[in-house]
Amino acid sequence: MISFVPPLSRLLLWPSLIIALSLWMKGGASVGGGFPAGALAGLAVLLQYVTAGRDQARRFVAVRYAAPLAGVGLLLVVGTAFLPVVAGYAPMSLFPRPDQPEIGVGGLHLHTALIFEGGLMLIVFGLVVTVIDRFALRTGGEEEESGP
Amino acid sequence: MNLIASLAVGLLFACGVRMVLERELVRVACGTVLITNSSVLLILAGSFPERGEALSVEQGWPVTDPVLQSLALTAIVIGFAVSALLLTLVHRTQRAHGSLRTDRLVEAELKRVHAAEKGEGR
Amino acid sequence: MPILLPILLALACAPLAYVAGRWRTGAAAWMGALGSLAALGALAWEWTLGPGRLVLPWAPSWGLSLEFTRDGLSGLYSAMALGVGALVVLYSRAYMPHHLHEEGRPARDEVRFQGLILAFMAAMVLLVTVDDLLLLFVALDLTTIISYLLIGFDREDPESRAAALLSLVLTGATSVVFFAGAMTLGLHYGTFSLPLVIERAAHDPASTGALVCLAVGALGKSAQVPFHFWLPRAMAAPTPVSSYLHSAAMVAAGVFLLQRLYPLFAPATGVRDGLLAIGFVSMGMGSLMALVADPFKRVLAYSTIAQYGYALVLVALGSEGAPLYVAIHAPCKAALFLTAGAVTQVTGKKKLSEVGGLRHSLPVLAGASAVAAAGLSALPLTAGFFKDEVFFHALAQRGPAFMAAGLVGAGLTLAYTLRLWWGLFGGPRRDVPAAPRLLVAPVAVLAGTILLGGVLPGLLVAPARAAAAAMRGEPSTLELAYHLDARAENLLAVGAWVLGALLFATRRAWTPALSRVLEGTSRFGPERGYRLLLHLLDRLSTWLHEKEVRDLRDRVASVMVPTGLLGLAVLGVTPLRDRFKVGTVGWADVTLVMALAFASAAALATLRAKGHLRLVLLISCVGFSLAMVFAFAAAPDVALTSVLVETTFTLLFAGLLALLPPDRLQHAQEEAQKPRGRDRLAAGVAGASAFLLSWSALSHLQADRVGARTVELAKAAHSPNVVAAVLTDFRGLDTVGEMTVVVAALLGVTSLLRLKGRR
Repeated sequence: MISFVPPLSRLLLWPSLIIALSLWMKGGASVGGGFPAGALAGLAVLLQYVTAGRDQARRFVAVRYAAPLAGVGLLLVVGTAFLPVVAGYAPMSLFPRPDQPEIGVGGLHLHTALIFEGGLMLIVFGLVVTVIDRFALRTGGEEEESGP
Repeated sequence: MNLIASLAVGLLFACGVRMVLERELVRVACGTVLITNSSVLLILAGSFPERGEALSVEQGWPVTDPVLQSLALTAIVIGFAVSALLLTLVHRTQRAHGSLRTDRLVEAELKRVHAAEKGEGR
Repeated sequence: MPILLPILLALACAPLAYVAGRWRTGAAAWMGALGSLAALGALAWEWTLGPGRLVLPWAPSWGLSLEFTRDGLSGLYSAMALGVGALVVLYSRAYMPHHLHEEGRPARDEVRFQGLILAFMAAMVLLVTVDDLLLLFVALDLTTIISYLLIGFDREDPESRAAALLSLVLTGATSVVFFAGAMTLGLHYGTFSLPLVIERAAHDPASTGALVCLAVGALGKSAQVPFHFWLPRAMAAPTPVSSYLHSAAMVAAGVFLLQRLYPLFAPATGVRDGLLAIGFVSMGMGSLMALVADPFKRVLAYSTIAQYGYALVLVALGSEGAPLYVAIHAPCKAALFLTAGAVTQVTGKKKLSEVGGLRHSLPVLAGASAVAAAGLSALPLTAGFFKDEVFFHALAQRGPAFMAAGLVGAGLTLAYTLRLWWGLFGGPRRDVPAAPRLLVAPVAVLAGTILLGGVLPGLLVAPARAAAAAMRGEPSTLELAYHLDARAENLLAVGAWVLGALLFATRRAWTPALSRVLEGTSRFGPERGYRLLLHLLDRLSTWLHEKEVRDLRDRVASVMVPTGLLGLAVLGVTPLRDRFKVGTVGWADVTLVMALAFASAAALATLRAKGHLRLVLLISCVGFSLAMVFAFAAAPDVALTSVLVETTFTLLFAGLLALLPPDRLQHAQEEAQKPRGRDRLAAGVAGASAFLLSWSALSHLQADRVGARTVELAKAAHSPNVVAAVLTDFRGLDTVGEMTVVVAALLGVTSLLRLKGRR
C-alpha cells in the first residue's frame, strides 16, 4: 500500500518554511516573531524526519548544520544587542532610533529588530532540529546496549 | 475569575509536584513540564481581568498587557529548551544505568561512593 | 599606564611559557625566565620614574575602582618575586624532568609546572602592586589557589594532596577572615581605596576587631603560630615550589600585608603587642624545631617560620628595617632550598642523617650554599649581616629583655644553619655524581647577590629606605654600614655568633633531649585540633549524604515542602483583609473557564495515566488547553508559540519513548503506580501554597501598569506589534539572556548525545 503521507509531507515542507519566514518578517507588525517562526520551521523539518527518515531529511544544508546555525543566531542576537555600545549607544539600542524616520520597502519595514528576531529564529530552529536529529540517530542506528 | 485561574494554577502545580515525586524518570520529566505550564499560566493570568486586543490597537480599547505576554513567551521558550534537555538526560541516564527508576540510580550512586571510599581507605 | 607594565609582562609569562612549551618542552622555562627578566627590567625602568598611582574606575557608582601603586614596598617585593621567580623557573628546567621521571609522569607535565610557577609569580606581583582592599583580597586568594595546585602538584601522592589541602584550608580560611576585616574597614570608611582608608584612619583609628581580622589573614599566610603547621607539611611539594613559595613569595605575602597596612596598625598598640608576642613565639618554636628536624627541607621550613617571626617582630615594633629584612631573607632561604633540592636529586636522599661529606663532589654548590647560609645567619660580608643589624637596632631601643630574646634567636639561627650546612657538606668524604650545571647556577647567582649586598651595602640603602617610607608613611633615615665599635648591635651580633657556635659544638649533648621534649609538646598542638575538626566534618558530611541520597524523592520533597510552607507562612503573617478577591465571571469568560477546566482535568488525569504514551498525550492535552486559554485571553503570540512548541514537544516525547527499551518502560510503569502517602501530602502542601500565593497575587494587580506605557512607546519604536516591541526592544537584554539559556540547553543536548559517543 502506498501511503499518501510521505509525498504530502514533502509538499508541505516548503510552504511551511515560507510561512515561518513570513512569521519572522512580519513579526514587528502583526502576530509572529522569531520564536514561532523557529518553532514552525523546526516542526516542518521534524515532519520530514518522521515520514522520510533521517537520511532524507539531512539532504538539506540547514538541517546538517543546525547546531552551527544556532551559534550564528546567538552571534546575531548578541551583536544586535551590544554592537551599538561600540558606537556609543546604550546596549540593546535598535535602529532606526525612535526619532529617526522609518525605512521601508513596500509593506516591509527595515529595522534592526528584524536581525534580532532572525537570531531568535535560528537559535530555536537549531535547538529543535538538533534534538530531533540526535533522537533520530539513536532510534535508527545502533543497537541498545545492555545496562549494568 | 481570580479564584478560578489561581485554582487552575494550584492544581497544575500540585499535579506537577506529585509527578516529580514519582519513582520513574519519564514521569518526573512530565512533572516538570506541568510545573512550567502552571507558571506560564500564572504569568498570563495577570492579564485576564482586562484582556482585550493583543496587537496594534486604537486609542481607547482595552489592551492585554503586552509585558505579561512577552514574559509568558519567554517562559514558554525557556521551558521548552529545558524540557528538551531533560528528555535527553532521561535518555542518557537510561543508557548509562539501564534503569528508569530513581531508587535504582540512588543505589548505584551509593555503591559507587562506597567503592570510592574503600579505594581511598586502601 | 606604565605602572601596569611589569604586571602585564608578569601575567604574560605563563601563557608565553605554555606556548613555548607546546613547541618544545625545554623552551618553556627559558621563555618564562626571559619574561620575568623583562618584567624586572620594566620594574627597574619604572623605578627611575619615581612613585606614582594609577586608578582605573570599575564601578564608580559603588565607589569601586582598580587601584595600583608604585612605591618602595611594591618595587622591593615585585623585584624579589620576579628575580627569585626567574631563577626558580630555570632551576625547575633541570629539576623537574628527574622528578617527573621518579613520579612516573610524562615529561610534558614540566610545562604545566612552570606555567603554574609563573602564574604564581604574576599573582604575587599583582598582590604587591594593588592599592585597594578588595583587590588585595582577590590577589591574596589567587596566590592561595595557585599554591594549592603547586603544593599538590604530585597529585598521585596522597601525602602531597593532603598537604595541599591543609595549606588551602588554612590560608584560605584566614584570608576569609582578612576579607571580613577589609569589608569592615571599607564599610566604616566608605571606601576601599587604601590611601583614602589610611588618611581617614588618621583621624578615626580603625577598630581593634577589624585589625585583628586583617592580622589573622597575614599570620595565616606567613605561617606564624598558631597557623604555622601547614608550612612543614607543604614540604611535600617539589623543591622549586618550596624554594619559591616558602621563601620569597607566599609566606612573604603575609608580612607584606602587615607592612602595607602598617599605618592602620600604628596607633593600635594592643594589637601590635599581640603581634610582637606571636613573632617571638614563632621565632623560638621555629628555631627549636629546626634544630632537631631531620629532613633538610623541614629544617628550612621551620627556619622560615622562625625568620618570618623576626619579620613580624620588626613590623610590630614599627621598625624601618622590616621590608629590608624580608628582602634579604628571601634570596638566602631560596638558595638553601635550591641546594636541598639539588642534593636530593644527586643523592636521592632527603634526610640529614643520610647525607654528608658532599663538599668534594659538589664544590660550587657547597661554596654558594655556604654564602647563603652565612647570609641567613647574618655573618659579615653578606647582605644578611644587615638584616640582623636592623633587627638588633629595633630591639635595642626596647630594652634588655628584648635584646636577650633577639640574641638567643640569632644564636639559634646560626646553630641550625651550621647544622644544616655541615650535615649536607661536612663530615667524611662521600663521592656522588656531579650536579647538572643548571641546578647549581641559580644558587650561585643568589649567592653572588648576597655577597654583593654584603660588600657594597650602599646599594641596599635606596630601596630599603623607599620601602620603609612606603610602609610608615614618613621619610626614612635608614643607614647601612659596617661600624667597628662597641655599639649594642655589634655586641649582640658577636654574642649571637658565640652562642650559635657553642650550641653547634655541643649539639650531640642536647639534641636527643630536645627532640623528645618537642615531640611530646607537638601532640597537643593546633595541628591535632585541625585533624580532629576535619575528621568530624567528614563524618557529618557522610551522614548527611547517606540520609539525603537514600531516596531521591525525599530530596525533592525536602526542597518542595519547606518552600511551600514558607509561602504559606508569608501569607500567614500578612493581614488577610482584602487579601483575596474572588473576581467577577462574565459571559465572555465562559470559554476561558472551560479551557481552564479542560487543562485541569487533563492534569489530574495524568496522575492516573496507565502507559507512557497516554501520559504524553495527556500532558500535551494540558499544553493545548493552555494554548486555548492563551488564545481566549487575547494573547495570540503566546498562543501561537505555545501550540507550535507543544506540538514539537509531544513529538519529541514520543520519540523518547521510542528510544527507551519497551520492557524497561513496562517495568517502570508497574513499579510507579504505588504512590506514598507523604508524596500526596507534599503535593497537597505545594499545590495549596501555589494556589494561595497566586490567588493573593492576582487579587492585588497594580491598576497602573507598565504594559499601558509600552503600548504608547511601541509606536515610537517603529513596532506596531507591542509584544514584539517588548521582546526585542524594551526588554531586549532579557531576551538575550533567555537565548543564552536556550543555547546552553542546546550545548547540553549535543554533549549528552554525541554523534560518535565514546559509550
